[in-house]
Amino acid sequence: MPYTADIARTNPTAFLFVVDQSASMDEKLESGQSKAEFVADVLNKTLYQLVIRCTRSEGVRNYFEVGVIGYGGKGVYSGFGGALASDYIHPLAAIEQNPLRVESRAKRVPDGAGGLVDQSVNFPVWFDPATNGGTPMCEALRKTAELMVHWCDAHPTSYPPTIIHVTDGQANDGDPEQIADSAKLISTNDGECLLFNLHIDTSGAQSIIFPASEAGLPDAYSRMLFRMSSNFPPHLVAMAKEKGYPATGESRFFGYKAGYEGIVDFFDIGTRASNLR
Amino acid sequence: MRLSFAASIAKYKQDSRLNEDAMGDRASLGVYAVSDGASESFDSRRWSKLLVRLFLANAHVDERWLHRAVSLYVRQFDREAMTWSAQAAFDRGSFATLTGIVISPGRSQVQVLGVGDSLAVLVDGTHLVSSYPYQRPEQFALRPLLLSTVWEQNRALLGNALAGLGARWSLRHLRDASVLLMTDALGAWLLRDPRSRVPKLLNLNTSLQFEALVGHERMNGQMRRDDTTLAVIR
Repeated sequence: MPYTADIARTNPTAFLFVVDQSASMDEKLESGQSKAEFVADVLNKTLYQLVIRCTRSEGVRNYFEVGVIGYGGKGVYSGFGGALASDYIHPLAAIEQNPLRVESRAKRVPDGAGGLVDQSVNFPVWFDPATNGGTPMCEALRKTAELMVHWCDAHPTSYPPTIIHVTDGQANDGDPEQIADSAKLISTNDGECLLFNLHIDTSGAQSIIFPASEAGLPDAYSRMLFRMSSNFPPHLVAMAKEKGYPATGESRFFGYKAGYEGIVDFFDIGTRASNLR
Repeated sequence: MRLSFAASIAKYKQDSRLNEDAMGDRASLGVYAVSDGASESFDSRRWSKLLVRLFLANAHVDERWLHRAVSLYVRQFDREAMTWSAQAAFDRGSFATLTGIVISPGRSQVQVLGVGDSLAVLVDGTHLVSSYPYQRPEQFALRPLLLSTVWEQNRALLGNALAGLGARWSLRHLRDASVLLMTDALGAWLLRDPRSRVPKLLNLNTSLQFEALVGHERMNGQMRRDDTTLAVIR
């Protein structure tokens, strides 16, 4: 049965975030943040959660390897900066050791005696928002496919990688659908790569999250992104339902015109790996 | 009654030092316990060992008992000296089950305490008489309540709730009583076919035999790969 491989340090899985950094990502959401700023926030929090879920008293366990691809006016590049910029995908321990900076903030926490006390907590930042130029989505997906071929060849027994692609618009370097289809065919012995596509929008229009068919999607672009998206693997169906989404095995891991809550849930559900024990 | 068999196998043999199960006995007082540390924890191995140790010292588990357990766990760490990720993981907490029994001095009854999905099983001869907290294998798919090192996360267990988590088994009228304590992978396996599997567990004499049984059942897909622990009291 696919998508059942145990995730362990000797058998890690991978998450690859592919993030649109084109000029239109500068548009503001209802919260006042730009789409780029909000996605950067959610991505940093997602990386943070991945790290602490794998941190034990003796150190960080490399259950995951994580990569970020940015794409925009400067082409396609590693979304990490600093010491991580030299490569696209890194083991989790390297990510833990090399944030761009760690911001210190005060948080009010229970003191165990019914009161609250200030506690200093650290917020690491790996990914800064950037917006520039056009949308070379095809080039980004080709790079994605190239990285996934190498990764899967090196990890033949692993739970297959999960690619989370975030965009607010259409490619201006060709038709990405065939490239996405090729990426989804790349596999380990445990199954094919999972490609999750998230389209974000500031219009306030009705969002569509995890649809089971193209019917009801408003335009050709959304239908294309739907087809580009993988079906839900079984263990994520239960997690989506817990968050109130009526997902089934027929649902695609796809969000269209997603707003604030949809974006957060998409990242959260997409990076759950129930085989991590 | 005494501990006649006890063994534990890590999820992966090469990582035996990472086994997050704990067990212990204080036969002179008829007290036995197992604890299964949850994987997504900062140090569930330390937490599960502490819970077993405290239960053997005092099997009266209430809010005060739990508060002391949390305090003793926290005292073992210096949060301010940790890296940012260790602090966050420490704050997130460690989690474990605790299933313990106290056999009355006259051997007339067994008091069971159970938080989480580690299983206690009462057997007469080779016949399964009762089990706690689960009776059917599909119940292991439920998300169990766990003891947490973050006090606020134990809210569901406070007040009288802890006292209600258990069972009392009479041993009168049983000709050949045994009690088995085990962690969840073994518990789910047992409940799927107790008629043939209870005798297999009662016939174990060495940890090598236990390892062979668990290895075989994992390989043929009958037992989930996880830290696996068994104690037999008879």
